[in-house]
Amino acid sequence: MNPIDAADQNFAAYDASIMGVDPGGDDLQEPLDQADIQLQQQETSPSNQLALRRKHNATLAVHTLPTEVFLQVIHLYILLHLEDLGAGYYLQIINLSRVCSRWYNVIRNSPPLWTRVRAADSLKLVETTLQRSSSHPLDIILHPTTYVDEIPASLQLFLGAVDTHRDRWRSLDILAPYTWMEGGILAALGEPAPSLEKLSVIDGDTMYCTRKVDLFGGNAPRLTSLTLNGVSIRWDSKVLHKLTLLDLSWIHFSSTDAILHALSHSTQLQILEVERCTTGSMATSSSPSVQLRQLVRLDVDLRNQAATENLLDHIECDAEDAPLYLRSRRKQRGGTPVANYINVDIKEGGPYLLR
Amino acid sequence: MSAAPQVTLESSDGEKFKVDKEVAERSVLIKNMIEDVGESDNPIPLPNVNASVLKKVLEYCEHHRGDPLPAADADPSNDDNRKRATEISDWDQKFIQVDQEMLFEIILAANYMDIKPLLDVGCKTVANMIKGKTPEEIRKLFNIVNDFTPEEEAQIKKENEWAEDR
Repeated sequence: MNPIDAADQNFAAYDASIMGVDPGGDDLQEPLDQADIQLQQQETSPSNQLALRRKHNATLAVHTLPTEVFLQVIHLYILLHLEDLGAGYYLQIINLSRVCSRWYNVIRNSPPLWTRVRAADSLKLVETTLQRSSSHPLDIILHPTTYVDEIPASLQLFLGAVDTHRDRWRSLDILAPYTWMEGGILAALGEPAPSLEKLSVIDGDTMYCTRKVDLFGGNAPRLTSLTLNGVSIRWDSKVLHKLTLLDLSWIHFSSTDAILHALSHSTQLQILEVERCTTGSMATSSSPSVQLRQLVRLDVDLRNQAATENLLDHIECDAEDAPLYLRSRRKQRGGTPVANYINVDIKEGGPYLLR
Repeated sequence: MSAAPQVTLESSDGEKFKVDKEVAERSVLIKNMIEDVGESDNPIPLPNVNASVLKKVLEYCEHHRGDPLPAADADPSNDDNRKRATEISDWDQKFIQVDQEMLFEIILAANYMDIKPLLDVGCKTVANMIKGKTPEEIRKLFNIVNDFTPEEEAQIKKENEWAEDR
Protein backbone atom coordinates (compact mmCIF):
# COMPACT_ATOMS: atom_id res chain seq x y z
CA MET A 1 0.00 0.00 0.00
CA ASN A 2 1.16 3.52 -0.77
CA PRO A 3 2.56 5.02 2.46
CA ILE A 4 0.48 8.16 2.05
CA ASP A 5 -2.61 6.01 1.71
CA ALA A 6 -1.57 4.03 4.76
CA ALA A 7 -1.16 7.22 6.73
CA ASP A 8 -4.50 8.39 5.38
CA GLN A 9 -6.12 5.20 6.59
CA ASN A 10 -4.67 5.79 10.04
CA PHE A 11 -5.95 9.29 9.77
CA ALA A 12 -9.47 8.05 8.97
CA ALA A 13 -9.47 6.12 12.22
CA TYR A 14 -8.18 9.18 14.02
CA ASP A 15 -10.80 11.33 12.33
CA ALA A 16 -13.52 8.96 13.46
CA SER A 17 -12.24 8.90 17.03
CA ILE A 18 -12.29 12.69 17.15
CA MET A 19 -15.87 12.65 15.92
CA GLY A 20 -16.83 10.09 18.53
CA VAL A 21 -17.89 7.38 16.13
CA ASP A 22 -16.60 3.98 15.32
CA PRO A 23 -15.19 3.85 11.80
CA GLY A 24 -17.30 0.79 11.14
CA GLY A 25 -20.42 2.59 12.37
CA ASP A 26 -21.56 -0.35 14.55
CA ASP A 27 -21.82 1.62 17.72
CA LEU A 28 -24.20 4.27 16.41
CA GLN A 29 -27.03 3.79 18.88
CA GLU A 30 -29.14 6.77 17.95
CA PRO A 31 -29.88 8.46 14.64
CA LEU A 32 -27.79 11.56 14.11
CA ASP A 33 -29.69 14.80 14.43
CA GLN A 34 -29.45 17.48 11.78
CA ALA A 35 -26.67 19.39 13.59
CA ASP A 36 -24.57 16.26 13.86
CA ILE A 37 -25.03 15.54 10.18
CA GLN A 38 -24.05 19.13 9.32
CA LEU A 39 -21.02 18.88 11.59
CA GLN A 40 -19.96 15.62 10.05
CA GLN A 41 -20.37 17.08 6.58
CA GLN A 42 -18.33 20.10 7.61
CA GLU A 43 -15.63 17.95 9.07
CA THR A 44 -15.26 15.92 5.94
CA SER A 45 -15.05 19.01 3.76
CA PRO A 46 -11.56 19.57 2.27
CA SER A 47 -10.76 22.48 4.58
CA ASN A 48 -11.74 20.57 7.69
CA GLN A 49 -9.92 17.49 6.53
CA LEU A 50 -6.86 19.66 6.15
CA ALA A 51 -7.32 21.06 9.65
CA LEU A 52 -7.67 17.57 11.06
CA ARG A 53 -4.58 16.39 9.21
CA ARG A 54 -2.60 19.27 10.62
CA LYS A 55 -4.01 18.53 14.06
CA HIS A 56 -2.93 14.92 13.71
CA ASN A 57 0.56 15.96 12.65
CA ALA A 58 0.83 18.36 15.57
CA THR A 59 0.37 15.51 18.03
CA LEU A 60 3.24 13.41 16.72
CA ALA A 61 6.38 12.79 18.75
CA VAL A 62 8.61 14.24 16.03
CA HIS A 63 6.65 17.47 16.20
CA THR A 64 7.11 17.90 19.93
CA LEU A 65 10.59 19.19 19.11
CA PRO A 66 10.79 22.98 19.31
CA THR A 67 11.66 24.65 16.02
CA GLU A 68 15.23 25.40 17.08
CA VAL A 69 15.86 21.74 17.95
CA PHE A 70 14.20 20.54 14.75
CA LEU A 71 16.51 22.90 12.87
CA GLN A 72 19.48 21.37 14.67
CA VAL A 73 18.41 18.01 13.25
CA ILE A 74 18.23 19.49 9.77
CA HIS A 75 21.56 21.27 10.21
CA LEU A 76 23.24 18.04 11.33
CA TYR A 77 21.61 16.18 8.47
CA ILE A 78 23.20 18.66 6.07
CA LEU A 79 26.53 18.63 7.85
CA LEU A 80 26.79 14.87 7.96
CA HIS A 81 25.16 13.87 4.72
CA LEU A 82 24.91 16.80 2.31
CA GLU A 83 27.97 18.93 3.00
CA ASP A 84 29.79 18.05 -0.18
CA LEU A 85 26.68 17.76 -2.27
CA GLY A 86 26.97 20.43 -4.96
CA ALA A 87 24.07 20.33 -7.35
CA GLY A 88 22.00 18.05 -5.16
CA TYR A 89 21.95 20.23 -2.09
CA TYR A 90 18.75 22.13 -2.77
CA LEU A 91 17.06 19.05 -4.22
CA GLN A 92 17.59 17.39 -0.85
CA ILE A 93 16.49 20.44 1.11
CA ILE A 94 13.35 20.81 -0.99
CA ASN A 95 12.80 17.08 -0.67
CA LEU A 96 12.72 17.44 3.11
CA SER A 97 10.32 20.35 2.86
CA ARG A 98 7.87 18.13 0.98
CA VAL A 99 7.19 15.99 4.05
CA CYS A 100 4.46 18.16 5.55
CA SER A 101 3.47 21.77 6.07
CA ARG A 102 5.45 22.10 9.29
CA TRP A 103 8.65 20.87 7.72
CA TYR A 104 7.99 23.09 4.72
CA ASN A 105 7.47 26.20 6.82
CA VAL A 106 10.42 25.59 9.13
CA ILE A 107 12.78 24.91 6.22
CA ARG A 108 11.33 27.66 4.05
CA ASN A 109 11.74 30.21 6.85
CA SER A 110 15.22 29.25 7.98
CA PRO A 111 17.62 31.62 6.15
CA PRO A 112 20.82 29.70 7.08
CA LEU A 113 19.61 26.76 4.96
CA TRP A 114 19.44 28.98 1.85
CA THR A 115 22.83 30.68 1.85
CA ARG A 116 24.56 28.56 -0.82
CA VAL A 117 24.35 30.37 -4.14
CA ARG A 118 25.63 28.46 -7.15
CA ALA A 119 26.06 29.77 -10.65
CA ALA A 120 25.31 26.27 -11.90
CA ASP A 121 21.77 26.44 -10.49
CA SER A 122 18.83 27.84 -12.42
CA LEU A 123 18.37 31.59 -12.12
CA LYS A 124 14.98 31.02 -10.51
CA LEU A 125 16.59 28.92 -7.79
CA VAL A 126 19.34 31.52 -7.35
CA GLU A 127 16.73 34.26 -6.93
CA THR A 128 14.83 32.07 -4.46
CA THR A 129 17.93 31.41 -2.38
CA LEU A 130 18.90 35.08 -2.38
CA GLN A 131 15.44 35.94 -1.12
CA ARG A 132 15.10 33.14 1.43
CA SER A 133 18.56 33.67 2.87
CA SER A 134 17.23 37.03 4.07
CA SER A 135 20.13 39.06 5.45
CA HIS A 136 22.40 36.08 6.17
CA PRO A 137 25.95 35.81 4.79
CA LEU A 138 26.19 34.12 1.41
CA ASP A 139 28.52 31.42 0.14
CA ILE A 140 28.84 31.88 -3.59
CA ILE A 141 30.11 29.17 -5.88
CA LEU A 142 30.90 30.01 -9.45
CA HIS A 143 31.99 26.87 -11.22
CA PRO A 144 30.97 26.40 -14.83
CA THR A 145 29.12 23.29 -15.90
CA THR A 146 30.16 23.73 -19.51
CA TYR A 147 33.07 25.60 -21.05
CA VAL A 148 32.39 27.97 -23.89
CA ASP A 149 34.64 30.74 -25.15
CA GLU A 150 32.41 33.68 -24.33
CA ILE A 151 31.03 34.26 -20.86
CA PRO A 152 27.48 32.84 -21.00
CA ALA A 153 24.53 35.22 -20.70
CA SER A 154 23.22 33.15 -17.78
CA LEU A 155 26.47 33.82 -15.92
CA GLN A 156 26.16 37.53 -16.59
CA LEU A 157 22.67 37.38 -15.08
CA PHE A 158 24.05 35.43 -12.12
CA LEU A 159 26.77 38.01 -11.54
CA GLY A 160 24.16 40.77 -11.70
CA ALA A 161 21.93 38.94 -9.21
CA VAL A 162 24.66 38.32 -6.63
CA ASP A 163 26.26 41.73 -7.10
CA THR A 164 23.28 43.45 -5.50
CA HIS A 165 23.94 41.34 -2.37
CA ARG A 166 27.70 41.89 -2.24
CA ASP A 167 27.53 43.24 1.29
CA ARG A 168 26.46 39.71 2.30
CA TRP A 169 29.22 37.78 0.52
CA ARG A 170 30.92 35.56 3.09
CA SER A 171 32.78 33.26 0.75
CA LEU A 172 33.41 33.31 -2.94
CA ASP A 173 34.70 30.29 -4.82
CA ILE A 174 35.48 30.95 -8.49
CA LEU A 175 36.80 28.58 -11.11
CA ALA A 176 36.48 29.98 -14.60
CA PRO A 177 38.39 30.29 -17.86
CA TYR A 178 40.33 33.41 -18.75
CA THR A 179 37.71 34.77 -21.14
CA TRP A 180 35.06 34.62 -18.46
CA MET A 181 37.36 36.35 -16.01
CA GLU A 182 37.86 39.16 -18.48
CA GLY A 183 34.20 39.04 -19.48
CA GLY A 184 32.84 40.16 -16.13
CA ILE A 185 34.18 38.17 -13.20
CA LEU A 186 37.24 40.33 -12.57
CA ALA A 187 35.06 43.44 -12.75
CA ALA A 188 32.84 41.95 -10.03
CA LEU A 189 35.96 41.45 -7.91
CA GLY A 190 36.87 45.11 -8.20
CA GLU A 191 34.23 46.54 -5.89
CA PRO A 192 34.34 46.36 -2.05
CA ALA A 193 33.19 43.21 -0.29
CA PRO A 194 32.78 44.28 3.33
CA SER A 195 31.78 40.87 4.77
CA LEU A 196 33.92 38.57 2.66
CA GLU A 197 35.98 36.14 4.74
CA LYS A 198 37.12 33.61 2.18
CA LEU A 199 38.05 34.00 -1.48
CA SER A 200 39.27 31.41 -3.94
CA VAL A 201 39.89 32.42 -7.55
CA ILE A 202 41.16 29.85 -9.99
CA ASP A 203 41.78 30.84 -13.56
CA GLY A 204 41.00 27.65 -15.43
CA ASP A 205 43.39 28.14 -18.30
CA THR A 206 45.92 30.85 -17.56
CA MET A 207 49.39 29.89 -16.49
CA TYR A 208 51.73 32.28 -14.76
CA CYS A 209 49.37 35.19 -14.75
CA THR A 210 51.10 38.53 -14.63
CA ARG A 211 48.14 40.88 -14.83
CA LYS A 212 47.28 42.54 -11.54
CA VAL A 213 43.76 42.70 -10.20
CA ASP A 214 42.99 45.40 -7.68
CA LEU A 215 41.01 43.01 -5.51
CA PHE A 216 37.92 44.75 -4.08
CA GLY A 217 39.72 48.05 -4.43
CA GLY A 218 41.62 46.95 -1.33
CA ASN A 219 38.37 46.93 0.64
CA ALA A 220 37.62 43.49 2.06
CA PRO A 221 38.34 44.11 5.74
CA ARG A 222 37.29 40.67 6.97
CA LEU A 223 39.16 38.57 4.44
CA THR A 224 41.14 35.85 6.24
CA SER A 225 41.54 33.19 3.58
CA LEU A 226 42.80 33.88 0.07
CA THR A 227 43.50 31.34 -2.66
CA LEU A 228 44.75 32.57 -6.00
CA ASN A 229 45.58 30.25 -8.85
CA GLY A 230 46.72 31.92 -12.07
CA VAL A 231 45.40 35.25 -10.85
CA SER A 232 47.70 37.96 -9.62
CA ILE A 233 46.70 40.93 -7.51
CA ARG A 234 48.25 44.14 -6.28
CA TRP A 235 50.62 42.78 -3.66
CA ASP A 236 50.49 45.96 -1.61
CA SER A 237 46.72 45.60 -1.26
CA LYS A 238 45.08 45.97 2.13
CA VAL A 239 43.14 42.74 1.50
CA LEU A 240 46.30 40.87 2.57
CA HIS A 241 46.48 42.42 6.00
CA LYS A 242 44.23 40.06 7.99
CA LEU A 243 44.94 36.82 6.21
CA THR A 244 45.54 33.64 8.17
CA LEU A 245 45.67 31.50 5.03
CA LEU A 246 47.36 32.45 1.77
CA ASP A 247 47.54 29.92 -1.04
CA LEU A 248 49.22 31.07 -4.24
CA SER A 249 49.87 29.02 -7.34
CA TRP A 250 50.74 29.54 -11.00
CA ILE A 251 51.70 33.17 -10.42
CA HIS A 252 54.80 34.85 -11.79
CA PHE A 253 56.32 37.37 -9.40
CA SER A 254 58.61 40.02 -10.76
CA SER A 255 60.97 39.27 -7.87
CA THR A 256 61.18 37.39 -4.59
CA ASP A 257 61.29 40.82 -2.96
CA ALA A 258 57.74 41.31 -4.27
CA ILE A 259 56.66 38.12 -2.50
CA LEU A 260 58.39 39.23 0.69
CA HIS A 261 56.76 42.63 0.42
CA ALA A 262 53.33 41.00 0.16
CA LEU A 263 54.06 38.69 3.11
CA SER A 264 55.33 41.56 5.23
CA HIS A 265 51.71 42.80 5.47
CA SER A 266 50.28 39.39 6.33
CA THR A 267 51.68 39.10 9.81
CA GLN A 268 48.87 36.84 11.05
CA LEU A 269 49.46 34.08 8.53
CA GLN A 270 49.14 30.55 9.87
CA ILE A 271 49.18 28.72 6.55
CA LEU A 272 51.26 29.78 3.57
CA GLU A 273 51.42 27.88 0.34
CA VAL A 274 53.40 29.16 -2.63
CA GLU A 275 53.25 26.44 -5.24
CA ARG A 276 54.28 26.29 -8.87
CA CYS A 277 55.03 29.98 -8.84
CA THR A 278 58.04 31.64 -10.46
CA THR A 279 60.14 34.63 -9.63
CA GLY A 280 62.00 37.03 -11.89
CA SER A 281 64.88 37.59 -9.48
CA MET A 282 65.91 36.25 -6.12
CA ALA A 283 66.13 38.16 -2.89
CA THR A 284 69.53 39.55 -1.94
CA SER A 285 71.32 39.94 1.37
CA SER A 286 69.87 43.43 1.62
CA SER A 287 66.31 42.16 1.19
CA PRO A 288 64.32 42.25 4.41
CA SER A 289 63.22 39.06 6.13
CA VAL A 290 59.57 38.63 7.05
CA GLN A 291 58.45 37.57 10.49
CA LEU A 292 55.50 35.19 10.39
CA ARG A 293 55.15 34.41 14.06
CA GLN A 294 51.98 32.36 13.82
CA LEU A 295 52.95 30.18 10.90
CA VAL A 296 52.23 26.47 11.42
CA ARG A 297 52.22 25.22 7.86
CA LEU A 298 54.38 26.21 4.94
CA ASP A 299 54.70 24.76 1.44
CA VAL A 300 57.04 26.54 -0.97
CA ASP A 301 57.82 25.67 -4.55
CA LEU A 302 59.31 28.28 -6.86
CA ARG A 303 60.10 25.73 -9.58
CA ASN A 304 63.75 25.96 -8.72
CA GLN A 305 65.46 24.76 -5.59
CA ALA A 306 67.76 27.76 -5.28
CA ALA A 307 64.84 30.18 -5.57
CA THR A 308 62.81 28.14 -3.09
CA GLU A 309 65.67 28.08 -0.58
CA ASN A 310 66.24 31.78 -1.18
CA LEU A 311 62.64 32.60 -0.25
CA LEU A 312 62.76 30.34 2.80
CA ASP A 313 65.92 32.09 3.93
CA HIS A 314 63.89 35.25 4.30
CA ILE A 315 60.96 33.82 6.29
CA GLU A 316 61.33 33.69 10.04
CA CYS A 317 59.05 32.20 12.60
CA ASP A 318 59.62 31.96 16.34
CA ALA A 319 56.52 29.98 17.18
CA GLU A 320 57.03 26.69 18.97
CA ASP A 321 54.77 24.92 16.50
CA ALA A 322 56.44 26.50 13.48
CA PRO A 323 57.19 24.18 10.55
CA LEU A 324 60.20 22.06 11.47
CA TYR A 325 62.43 23.19 8.64
CA LEU A 326 61.91 26.83 9.56
CA ARG A 327 63.04 26.04 13.07
CA SER A 328 66.02 24.14 11.74
CA ARG A 329 66.98 27.10 9.58
CA ARG A 330 66.81 29.37 12.58
CA LYS A 331 69.08 27.01 14.48
CA GLN A 332 71.38 26.83 11.49
CA ARG A 333 71.72 30.59 11.44
CA GLY A 334 72.36 30.51 15.18
CA GLY A 335 75.22 28.09 14.72
CA THR A 336 73.31 24.99 15.77
CA PRO A 337 73.86 22.05 13.43
CA VAL A 338 71.09 21.52 10.94
CA ALA A 339 68.77 18.75 11.92
CA ASN A 340 68.11 15.97 9.49
CA TYR A 341 64.42 16.69 9.27
CA ILE A 342 64.61 19.10 6.38
CA ASN A 343 62.65 17.14 3.87
CA VAL A 344 63.40 18.16 0.33
CA ASP A 345 61.30 16.30 -2.11
CA ILE A 346 62.80 16.82 -5.53
CA LYS A 347 60.61 15.63 -8.31
CA GLU A 348 61.87 15.23 -11.83
CA GLY A 349 62.41 18.73 -13.16
CA GLY A 350 60.90 20.20 -10.00
CA PRO A 351 58.87 21.33 -8.24
CA TYR A 352 60.85 21.39 -5.02
CA LEU A 353 58.64 20.86 -2.06
CA LEU A 354 59.86 21.45 1.43
CA ARG A 355 57.48 20.10 3.98
CA MET B 1 37.77 8.90 52.40
CA SER B 2 34.66 11.08 52.26
CA ALA B 3 31.82 10.12 49.91
CA ALA B 4 31.28 12.12 46.74
CA PRO B 5 28.75 14.93 47.23
CA GLN B 6 25.29 14.03 46.05
CA VAL B 7 22.16 15.87 44.95
CA THR B 8 18.56 14.77 44.64
CA LEU B 9 16.59 15.35 41.46
CA GLU B 10 12.81 15.16 41.33
CA SER B 11 11.05 14.19 38.12
CA SER B 12 7.75 15.67 36.95
CA ASP B 13 5.90 12.65 38.31
CA GLY B 14 7.47 13.00 41.74
CA GLU B 15 10.14 10.31 41.63
CA LYS B 16 13.39 11.21 43.37
CA PHE B 17 16.84 10.30 42.10
CA LYS B 18 19.90 10.65 44.31
CA VAL B 19 22.99 11.03 42.14
CA ASP B 20 26.54 12.23 42.45
CA LYS B 21 26.79 15.98 42.00
CA GLU B 22 29.42 15.42 39.32
CA VAL B 23 26.93 13.33 37.33
CA ALA B 24 24.05 15.79 37.75
CA GLU B 25 26.28 18.65 36.70
CA ARG B 26 26.61 17.24 33.21
CA SER B 27 23.42 19.25 32.90
CA VAL B 28 24.24 22.94 32.61
CA LEU B 29 20.73 23.72 33.91
CA ILE B 30 21.37 21.77 37.12
CA LYS B 31 24.92 23.08 37.46
CA ASN B 32 23.62 26.65 37.29
CA MET B 33 20.82 25.89 39.73
CA ILE B 34 23.28 24.46 42.24
CA GLU B 35 25.55 27.47 41.81
CA ASP B 36 22.64 29.88 42.22
CA VAL B 37 20.96 28.20 45.18
CA GLY B 38 24.00 26.69 46.85
CA GLU B 39 24.30 23.28 48.48
CA SER B 40 20.93 22.11 49.75
CA ASP B 41 19.19 18.90 50.79
CA ASN B 42 16.06 19.94 48.95
CA PRO B 43 15.41 18.00 45.77
CA ILE B 44 15.95 19.87 42.52
CA PRO B 45 12.64 19.83 40.63
CA LEU B 46 12.66 18.98 36.92
CA PRO B 47 9.03 19.63 35.97
CA ASN B 48 9.58 18.93 32.26
CA VAL B 49 11.12 15.47 32.60
CA ASN B 50 9.29 12.36 33.75
CA ALA B 51 10.93 9.55 35.72
CA SER B 52 11.48 7.10 32.86
CA VAL B 53 13.19 9.76 30.73
CA LEU B 54 15.19 11.15 33.63
CA LYS B 55 16.42 7.66 34.40
CA LYS B 56 17.71 7.36 30.83
CA VAL B 57 19.28 10.81 30.90
CA LEU B 58 21.05 10.03 34.16
CA GLU B 59 22.29 6.74 32.69
CA TYR B 60 23.92 8.82 29.93
CA CYS B 61 25.36 11.33 32.40
CA GLU B 62 26.74 8.55 34.60
CA HIS B 63 28.49 6.90 31.66
CA HIS B 64 29.99 10.22 30.53
CA ARG B 65 30.77 11.59 33.99
CA GLY B 66 34.51 11.89 33.32
CA ASP B 67 34.26 13.37 29.82
CA PRO B 68 35.49 16.92 29.30
CA LEU B 69 32.59 19.35 29.33
CA PRO B 70 31.99 21.36 26.18
CA ALA B 71 33.58 24.80 26.57
CA ALA B 72 31.04 27.41 27.57
CA ASP B 73 32.40 29.76 24.93
CA ALA B 74 32.59 27.10 22.20
CA ASP B 75 31.17 28.46 18.99
CA PRO B 76 27.97 26.45 18.43
CA SER B 77 28.00 27.37 14.76
CA ASN B 78 31.43 25.85 14.25
CA ASP B 79 30.62 22.91 12.01
CA ASP B 80 33.91 21.12 12.59
CA ASN B 81 33.34 21.14 16.34
CA ARG B 82 29.81 19.88 15.92
CA LYS B 83 30.81 17.14 13.54
CA ARG B 84 33.50 15.90 15.90
CA ALA B 85 31.23 16.18 18.90
CA THR B 86 28.53 14.13 17.26
CA GLU B 87 30.47 11.13 16.12
CA ILE B 88 28.34 8.59 17.95
CA SER B 89 30.32 6.11 20.00
CA ASP B 90 29.28 2.48 20.19
CA TRP B 91 27.95 2.94 23.71
CA ASP B 92 25.92 5.98 22.72
CA GLN B 93 24.50 4.18 19.70
CA LYS B 94 23.31 1.36 21.93
CA PHE B 95 22.02 3.84 24.50
CA ILE B 96 19.94 5.73 21.94
CA GLN B 97 18.36 2.59 20.47
CA VAL B 98 14.95 3.32 21.96
CA ASP B 99 11.47 3.72 20.56
CA GLN B 100 10.65 6.95 18.78
CA GLU B 101 8.65 8.43 21.61
CA MET B 102 11.50 7.91 24.05
CA LEU B 103 14.04 9.22 21.53
CA PHE B 104 12.20 12.52 21.16
CA GLU B 105 11.63 12.75 24.90
CA ILE B 106 15.36 12.28 25.49
CA ILE B 107 16.08 15.04 22.96
CA LEU B 108 13.58 17.34 24.65
CA ALA B 109 15.04 16.56 28.07
CA ALA B 110 18.60 17.13 26.82
CA ASN B 111 17.50 20.46 25.39
CA TYR B 112 15.69 21.47 28.58
CA MET B 113 18.48 20.29 30.89
CA ASP B 114 21.11 21.76 28.56
CA ILE B 115 23.18 18.62 28.01
CA LYS B 116 24.73 19.50 24.67
CA PRO B 117 26.49 16.21 23.85
CA LEU B 118 23.29 14.23 24.52
CA LEU B 119 21.28 16.68 22.41
CA ASP B 120 23.75 16.18 19.56
CA VAL B 121 23.57 12.40 19.86
CA GLY B 122 19.76 12.57 19.72
CA CYS B 123 19.65 15.02 16.82
CA LYS B 124 22.24 13.08 14.86
CA THR B 125 20.27 9.89 15.38
CA VAL B 126 17.18 11.54 13.87
CA ALA B 127 19.32 12.98 11.06
CA ASN B 128 20.57 9.46 10.30
CA MET B 129 17.00 8.14 10.35
CA ILE B 130 15.92 10.46 7.54
CA LYS B 131 19.08 9.98 5.47
CA GLY B 132 18.35 8.81 1.93
CA LYS B 133 14.60 8.68 2.43
CA THR B 134 11.91 10.09 0.16
CA PRO B 135 9.27 12.41 1.65
CA GLU B 136 6.82 9.49 1.61
CA GLU B 137 9.26 7.27 3.48
CA ILE B 138 9.87 10.01 6.06
CA ARG B 139 6.12 10.42 6.53
CA LYS B 140 5.77 6.70 7.08
CA LEU B 141 8.70 6.69 9.50
CA PHE B 142 7.15 9.34 11.74
CA ASN B 143 3.45 8.62 10.98
CA ILE B 144 3.09 12.05 9.40
CA VAL B 145 0.19 12.64 6.99
CA ASN B 146 0.38 14.80 3.91
CA ASP B 147 -1.29 18.05 4.99
CA PHE B 148 -0.52 20.32 2.05
CA THR B 149 -3.19 22.25 0.25
CA PRO B 150 -3.27 21.77 -3.53
CA GLU B 151 -1.78 25.26 -3.89
CA GLU B 152 1.10 24.39 -1.58
CA GLU B 153 1.67 21.14 -3.45
CA ALA B 154 1.88 23.09 -6.69
CA GLN B 155 4.34 25.58 -5.18
CA ILE B 156 6.65 22.84 -3.89
CA LYS B 157 6.47 21.06 -7.24
CA LYS B 158 7.61 24.29 -8.87
CA GLU B 159 10.49 24.68 -6.39
CA ASN B 160 11.53 21.13 -7.09
CA GLU B 161 11.62 21.89 -10.80
CA TRP B 162 13.84 24.94 -10.17
CA ALA B 163 16.24 22.73 -8.25
CA GLU B 164 16.22 20.09 -10.98
CA ASP B 165 16.61 22.64 -13.77
CA ARG B 166 19.99 22.45 -15.62
